[in-house]
Amino acid sequence: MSVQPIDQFCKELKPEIKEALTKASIGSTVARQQSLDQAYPEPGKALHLRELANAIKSVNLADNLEKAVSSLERNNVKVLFAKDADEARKIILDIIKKKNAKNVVKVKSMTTEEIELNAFLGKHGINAVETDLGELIIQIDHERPSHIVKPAIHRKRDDIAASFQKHGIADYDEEPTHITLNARKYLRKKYFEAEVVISGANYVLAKEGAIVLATNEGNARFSMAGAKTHIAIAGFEKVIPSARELSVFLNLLGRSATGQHTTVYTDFVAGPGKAKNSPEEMYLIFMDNGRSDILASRFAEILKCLRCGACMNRCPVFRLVGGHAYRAVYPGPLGIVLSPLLAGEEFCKYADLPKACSLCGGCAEVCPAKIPLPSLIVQMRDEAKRRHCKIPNDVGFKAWSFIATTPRLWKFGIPFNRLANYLPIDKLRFGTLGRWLKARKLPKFKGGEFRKWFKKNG
Amino acid sequence: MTPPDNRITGKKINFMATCLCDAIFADAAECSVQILKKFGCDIIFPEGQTCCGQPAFNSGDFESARKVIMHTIDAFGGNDYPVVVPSGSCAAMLFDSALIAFKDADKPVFEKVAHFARRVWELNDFLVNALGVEKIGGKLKARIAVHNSCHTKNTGTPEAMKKLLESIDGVELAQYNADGCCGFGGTFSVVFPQLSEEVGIKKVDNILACKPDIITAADTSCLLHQYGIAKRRGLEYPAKHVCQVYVEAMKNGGLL
Ligand code: SF4
Repeated sequence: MSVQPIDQFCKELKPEIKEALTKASIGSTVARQQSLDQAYPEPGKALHLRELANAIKSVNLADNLEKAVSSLERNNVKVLFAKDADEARKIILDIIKKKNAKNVVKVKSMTTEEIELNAFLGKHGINAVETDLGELIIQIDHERPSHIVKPAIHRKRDDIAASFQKHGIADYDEEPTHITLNARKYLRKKYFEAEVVISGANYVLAKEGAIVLATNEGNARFSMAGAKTHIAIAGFEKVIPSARELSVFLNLLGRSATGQHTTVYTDFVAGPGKAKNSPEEMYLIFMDNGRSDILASRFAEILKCLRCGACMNRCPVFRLVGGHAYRAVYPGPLGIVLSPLLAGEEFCKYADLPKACSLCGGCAEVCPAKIPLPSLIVQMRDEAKRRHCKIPNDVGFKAWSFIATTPRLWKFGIPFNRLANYLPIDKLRFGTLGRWLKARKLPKFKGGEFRKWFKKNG
Repeated sequence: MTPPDNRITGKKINFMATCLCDAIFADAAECSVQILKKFGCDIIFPEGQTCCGQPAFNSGDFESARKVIMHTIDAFGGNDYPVVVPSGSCAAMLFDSALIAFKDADKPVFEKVAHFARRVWELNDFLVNALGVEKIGGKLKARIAVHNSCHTKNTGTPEAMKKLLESIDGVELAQYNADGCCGFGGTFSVVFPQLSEEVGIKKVDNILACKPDIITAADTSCLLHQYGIAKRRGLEYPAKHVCQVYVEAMKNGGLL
């Protein structure tokens, strides 16, 4: 019987990384609660807002998408569609080539992580630099983000300083403000060099024909100041009806993510040439990449995700292992639902992920879009069964369900577990039960006693 | 986990022991019955009952789970009285998760499950919110750490249990984050022994740091896990199902 990869990862992860992950995640969970309590002291108000966010995301997506396309085009945005990652990458590369561009700056975007854009562009001789500090840190070390909001949550300042030194960004200096300052100096040059800026979109406003970018570092604005071409890419589920509904999301996003009342910068980009020193040309690529299949499935709710990261901050499993354990771009409760689905044909490759959850329900309590994550997670387990995926260390229930539906066998079997009191099972150290008992002691079995008692005393 | 609307109440009830009480925690089940009787319940124990189906459901084996849920519904099919369960997670399995397992079922089958869901209550929730019990009373000088099991989130159980425990003379409830997961999760602890153990150790340390005389919960499964982890590490872990606490207090106060 093999071991679950995430469990193995947990076993091997250095204690100081675990500690950093746990501390940062709990910190964000606490900050989230405090900021919501402060903003909405009336009982039920925050919940109401979350319900509203869910409801807004339920409104007819196809309709809104159509509206968005015509408003965006009215604003001179070139709208393109990509059915999968491959197509999205090609579209982006084509645009960059047409502009004869070599230098690209990037505004943190999980969608571009999803399509592994940086590596692809690198292969084609294009230098794409991440401008979000956390993303920059992991990019120079060729790592994947370990959290969707805080990509370098697993890193400590001394090793970041060492990395900066190694890659010639700055001399070793582990003082956090100096790390930031050094990154800023390094990035300034990049902003000037860049011909193209690539961003995601936190929201696409259908009525106004604009995209909204929420950042904390102002890097989106800097990126747009130099580059002449802006390419934005978004899953089509990012469309919301209008700026009116946006307030619900802006009030929830920062608070849910980090406990800020809003992110420091909220940029509205409604087409090229609207502001001084801004790109002359703008593209928006709506990407499907498995989303329409999800929309048509029993997992459609997961498309309401705002990518705030609150669910992972709250998750007892994520807190111990961080994002890399999940082998996919989206980690935590969100990821264990979304990643296997996005993998399409390769669903089974990630079918173990939904198992990595004790169903504690913490994620559903914090999700600003009120996505019923635990319910989706168990249904993903069912989905894996339906697709006949093989999952390491899985437990079978066929024999058990047979006994549990046959009272004669059940009643007959139950008193016999008392035998276990006389057997040395407590000393077992092999097999599933053995592994379980290595860390836990069982109380005495008293099978059948209650039934006997009830007959006399009930 | 949200209980359904229009739940069925009354003092004539069925008792569902749950598989863990059937196999291990006979005392918890006995105390639960004593408490229910004390508050005027007339109790039926259908012999055909086995398990709520949770182990299979949580593992994603919906097919096996559906069989066991149907078996349970039929086992309690002799009457239409409430089904009271001394376990938050088994109750939630039957009033919430069962509906997910039968989501794609034919309408009459789904309705049968949905109707059964309205009959199912966790014991504390039942006492306070169905019968209107205000207090347990009695005496027990003890500092108690309560663990709110994950499956009782959004149900009446945590508040009800707190109210009843506070009504006991001498009880002091330890203040700590009572909602943390203990890492059990049924088969989760089998499939992910390392993760489960590390989450469990955190929980146990957290609880023991409040120096409680008693650790209690409305679920024997969580207590089983916490107890198991603490014991294996050589720590004392005075865990009791909440009904055992109630019985002790009532006996001390001469109420039972
Ligand atoms: S699933 Fe919910 S909590 Fe998790 S990242 Fe998405 S919006 Fe945030």
